[in-house]
Amino acid sequence: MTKTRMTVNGQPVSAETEGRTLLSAYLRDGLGLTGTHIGCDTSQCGACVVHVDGKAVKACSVFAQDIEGADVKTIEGMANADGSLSTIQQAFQDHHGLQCGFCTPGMVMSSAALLAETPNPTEAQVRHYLEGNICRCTGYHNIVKAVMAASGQAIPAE
Amino acid sequence: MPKESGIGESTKRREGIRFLTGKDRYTDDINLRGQTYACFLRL
Repeated sequence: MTKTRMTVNGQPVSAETEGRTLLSAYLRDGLGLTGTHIGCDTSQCGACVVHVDGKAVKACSVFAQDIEGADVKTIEGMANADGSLSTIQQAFQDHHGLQCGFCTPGMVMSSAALLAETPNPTEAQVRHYLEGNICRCTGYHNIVKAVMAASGQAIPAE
Repeated sequence: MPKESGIGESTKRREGIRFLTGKDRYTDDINLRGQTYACFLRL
């Protein structure tokens, strides 16, 4: 076991890892940050998406030791410093972009990465970008509405 | 129905907040001291 250090949500952190410890396990078990969810064993579902050095990454597909020293952001770090929800989180709340909530952290993190790259995506661009995030409950439409609203654009019709 | 009565209005879900901030507790998120785990062995 080695101590692996990085910055998570602005805080320097350290936890024991083996070479095979995935970032998802590092966050959930090593740091107790269970907001990042594990929904599959196949890197398909996207419930584990976090930001590593500003890029959306599936935490189940990265070894913690491989990103030693990186700047990681998880769903727990998305709210504003005063506790209020970020624009994207508030948009998901306002437009009912979640039901059971299991895919939601990954959807929020992926959407935030999209809007950072493409501040005014089309509906088609949103749907394409979120292809790596699977949702069993909502049928995606309200998620797309939430992302469009968060970007300040008109919400697609029913 | 008049809007002031609240009848017929949608209500916003309150549990959405904890799902959106990672403060939710699904079964695999529970971590109590001394908790036990079940594994199923199929023979």
